[in-house]
Amino acid sequence: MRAPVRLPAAPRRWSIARGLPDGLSPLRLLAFASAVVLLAAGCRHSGAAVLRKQTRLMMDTYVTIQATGPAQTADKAIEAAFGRLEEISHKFNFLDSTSPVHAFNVNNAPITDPELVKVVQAAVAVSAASGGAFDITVRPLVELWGFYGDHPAVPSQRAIDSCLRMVGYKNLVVEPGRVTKLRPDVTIDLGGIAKGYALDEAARVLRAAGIDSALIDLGGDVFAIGRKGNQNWKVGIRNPRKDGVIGVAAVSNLAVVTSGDYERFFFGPDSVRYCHIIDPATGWPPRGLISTTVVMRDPLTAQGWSKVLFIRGTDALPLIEKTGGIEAILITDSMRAICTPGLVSAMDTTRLNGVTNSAGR
Amino acid sequence: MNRNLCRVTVLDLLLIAGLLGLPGWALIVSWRAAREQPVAYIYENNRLLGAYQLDRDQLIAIGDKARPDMKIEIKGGAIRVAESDCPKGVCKQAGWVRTPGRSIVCVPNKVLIELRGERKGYDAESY
Repeated sequence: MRAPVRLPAAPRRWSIARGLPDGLSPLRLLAFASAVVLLAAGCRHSGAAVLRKQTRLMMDTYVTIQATGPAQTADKAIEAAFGRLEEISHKFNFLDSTSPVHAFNVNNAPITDPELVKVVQAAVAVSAASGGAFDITVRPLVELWGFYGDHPAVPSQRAIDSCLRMVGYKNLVVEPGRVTKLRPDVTIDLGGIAKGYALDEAARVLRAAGIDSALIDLGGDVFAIGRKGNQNWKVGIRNPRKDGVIGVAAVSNLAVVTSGDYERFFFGPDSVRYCHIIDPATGWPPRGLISTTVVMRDPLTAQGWSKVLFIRGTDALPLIEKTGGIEAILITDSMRAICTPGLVSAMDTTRLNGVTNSAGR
Repeated sequence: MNRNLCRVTVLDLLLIAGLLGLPGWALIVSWRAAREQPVAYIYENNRLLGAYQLDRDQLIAIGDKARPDMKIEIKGGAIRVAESDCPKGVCKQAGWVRTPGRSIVCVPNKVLIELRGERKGYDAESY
């Protein structure tokens, strides 16, 4: 007996090669599919990584933090980083009468705060390595030149000589957990190196909050965490004499810190530009360079090394080579760029606008 | 051949126009934004005072109208602090600024001028 033949169900009406139900044209289907794809693309980002950015005025400058991550995570991380920066801003501000640095300067109170001791230690280490080119005890000279006040002016050589006696990192006694001084008139300004510490701490807070891609810009001192998508973060280096940048460094997990004669300066009666960076050895602003930028892993000491280069000029290039891990670009007063080989490879040299380039080593 | 194959209704046309038009519109908007001059965002004490196109020359007073703390000038696609009662005048020394990403800060007056727009190939500026 033959098995019963199962008859196919009555065919439905199809519009094309039995592929589409009746009433659904290919165009309609295409449009519908496109709409679904677009909708899906739009919804896809609800929990995906986005770039969040916030700018605030703090630490006597403006601070911008960009962080990549889920929106809520990134926002919380940025908020936490700003909170940490506020704490550091207070603690390191020698002008704040309640800060330990003020107490050290005015009342000779020893510094025992572990954070401050750590930063002073780092500063003194750069001083020792650079033969005193960078020195946090330069404060009386900066004050004498009027850069803390309203009307900076060229002081007399006699006043400079008198002030130089109060300057010298060797007057600081750095012991485990404690900083004291040999002379009561020795005072410190941690301004520059505090920004480096702040970068380091903000980066630590962001990482602890789960962020592995961020860019912290603390008034031009920049630290890059990870990469921006599949590319390194790009940091422009300001042209010291006109609007725009002289080049762009592509960096990841590196600090980019610049010192220049164009942020705080005045023209003397001799029409010479005098900037706020003072050579602790001479008591005068250095000549020859108008901008120095360092690129290195440790943001804490980057500002120190940037100032060492600004003060010592090309003479300091062998020193940073010996120290290792520091790349630099120096701009001379004739707008010539001197770039260390490592930075040349990390720089978009096609953007070296308005300067001529030459190898540093 | 089934005529349903090529039957296009008004709804189809509207849907297609919408799907093609939206991305096109988005492209045109982003292209125009890229061509536009940067916008200056002016903050006082971390509070946004306003956003100003740089294509319209104007003088913006900050503070008391009768006796402003600062006067910010926009001229020829650039912005500067023209007058400020701050002691050091660092903000005035910044001069004219026109590049997206650049900022002028007046710490005593707690004023920040930030230029936003298409930054030419970098995420931050070291200075």
